[in-house]
Amino acid sequence: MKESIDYYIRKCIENDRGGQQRIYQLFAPVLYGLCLKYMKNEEDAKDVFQEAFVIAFQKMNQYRFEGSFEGWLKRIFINKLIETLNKRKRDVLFAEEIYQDDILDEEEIDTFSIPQEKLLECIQQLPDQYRLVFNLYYFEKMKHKEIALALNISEGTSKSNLNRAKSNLQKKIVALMALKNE
Amino acid sequence: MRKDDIDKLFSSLEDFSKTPPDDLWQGIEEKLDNSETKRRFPFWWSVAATLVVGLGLLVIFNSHPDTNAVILPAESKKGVVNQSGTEDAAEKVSIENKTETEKHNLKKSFLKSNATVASGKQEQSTSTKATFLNSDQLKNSNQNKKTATVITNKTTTALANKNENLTSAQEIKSTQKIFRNQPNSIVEQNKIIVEKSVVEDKIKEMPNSIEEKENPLAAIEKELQKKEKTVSEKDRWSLQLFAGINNSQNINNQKSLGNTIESQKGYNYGVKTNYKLNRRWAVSTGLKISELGQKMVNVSYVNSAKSLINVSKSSFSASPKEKGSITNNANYLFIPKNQNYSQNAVSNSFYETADLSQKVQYAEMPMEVSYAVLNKGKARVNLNTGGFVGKVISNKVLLNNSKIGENSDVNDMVFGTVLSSTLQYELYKKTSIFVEPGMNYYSQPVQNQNFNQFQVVFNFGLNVSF
Repeated sequence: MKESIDYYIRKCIENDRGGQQRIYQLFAPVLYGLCLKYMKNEEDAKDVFQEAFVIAFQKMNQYRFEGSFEGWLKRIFINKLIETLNKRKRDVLFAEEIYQDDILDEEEIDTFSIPQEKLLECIQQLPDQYRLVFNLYYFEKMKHKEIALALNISEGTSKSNLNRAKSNLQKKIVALMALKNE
Repeated sequence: MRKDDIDKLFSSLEDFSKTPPDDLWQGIEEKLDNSETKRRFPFWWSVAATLVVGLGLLVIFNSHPDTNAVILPAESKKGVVNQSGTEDAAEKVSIENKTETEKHNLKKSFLKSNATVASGKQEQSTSTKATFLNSDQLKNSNQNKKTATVITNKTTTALANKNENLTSAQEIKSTQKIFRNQPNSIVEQNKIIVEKSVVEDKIKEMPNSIEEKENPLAAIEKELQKKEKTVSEKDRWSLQLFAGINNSQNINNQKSLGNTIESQKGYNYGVKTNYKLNRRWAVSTGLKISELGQKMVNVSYVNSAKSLINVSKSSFSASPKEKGSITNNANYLFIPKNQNYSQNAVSNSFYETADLSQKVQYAEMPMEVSYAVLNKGKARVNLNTGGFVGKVISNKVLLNNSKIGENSDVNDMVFGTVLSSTLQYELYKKTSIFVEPGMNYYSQPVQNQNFNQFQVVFNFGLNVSF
């Protein structure tokens, strides 16, 4: 499989449309899912997805055939997603002070009964920068220090945004479950 | 519902994927087709813009009224009006240079303090991340985070570190506040520099998989240090095309034929290859065409072909230092200004006065060493020094801008030194434009005569890395 991917990557470097299409077919679902998690809605996700794929094809000659190609593609997409969301910073609210945890409801919820699409919607409804920090922390496994550096914010802001994102999600889940139980 | 449940709940989205709508591929294809044609334009536009600016400067330079022009009355060509000359000033570049040692220490302390703060806080909240300082502990920490098993795997050292971090966390917080309250301090500036470079590294090196995410901070720091010393293999070489103007200067107020030697403008162009030894140091060589010259106004001479009298050089004596002939054209005899004409064979009614210029063009091969005093983002400022060897390719003596011959005392080979500064800005990836003010010194370009030896240069050009 790895060899065949390398073959298509080389085709992409030669600007071969067939090779590009094959790479697209192989990785589009994962990368589209990635865009959906980071962007507010499907339309925005589509825009970034297309732009990031074009960038990836243009930069294909910089891939050194070392490590995971999927990881390399993801890095390009995440960079593009961060860039896009940072451009829209005016929508957001970076909390400057350390956020105090909300008093949480200790009620146990059967979380596994919530479908992926609903969870995705919850994430998409978060403000841009909360969603960004949440994604980088949970899905990219970045530390607050790394997130702070990547987004040019303080570590405190990163932690605060994550906390707010979690509280926000928690409320949404509780509301979702309440709706379901009615 | 507790906040920790969020982790479990959303972990199902970790590998979330969804097939995109079919029309997206068509959109990508269109964008790829458009970008292929669009991408070529900026590069060629930048080349064209550089050439236009360059040619514009040359035209302005050449069409600039010569303030040292000699005005010769039509009938006698004797009247000379000498207007005051202008002096070109070398452009000075002031650069704030911070020592590498200072930067290095600050980077280290910054990373260390932040790591400790982060460590202390994360211990309190998740009890999984003991410290960034020990890679083994970090590995354990990451594993613990993933499997949700806590403290049990930790070493005694980790626990000790934890306690220490907890007690010192408050102190470090207050230190950070002090940093925040001094936004203009050098420490803060260095912090910003470190942050930016770490961000760049991080984005490039963002881990591909869980296995690759071990100890990312250490990896970033290592990469940072490595980057400080090295430069990526692909960007080591660069090619520079440049053109510019120069002004040969008479710094020692030397005289020739009793006349003050004045500055002479010229032009230069060439190509240089540059090899980066590391992020700071580079060496370069290439080929340059450059013009050294001088001008004297109000020079008296006899044109024996016109005056129909035969005058010999022995009729006049120049200063003892100057034993050579200005030109190899025997028809012209230049009369030193300090001579008493009444004592000589030629009456002053036979001599004429005009503007005498000399231009020597060299093909030069420079060897230069560059040091980057600033290398931040797209901007780069280099200080360059070195030497060159040049060979004469053109040698002209001009009287009122008409060539009358060559200077027979010009040395065929010349050596010199270079001191310049390059201000470079990256327009596109691998393509930069630059301006380069500098000064050249020519060692003995002409024998037996005084000649301008200093040259103030202002080049501009295009740099392409490969």
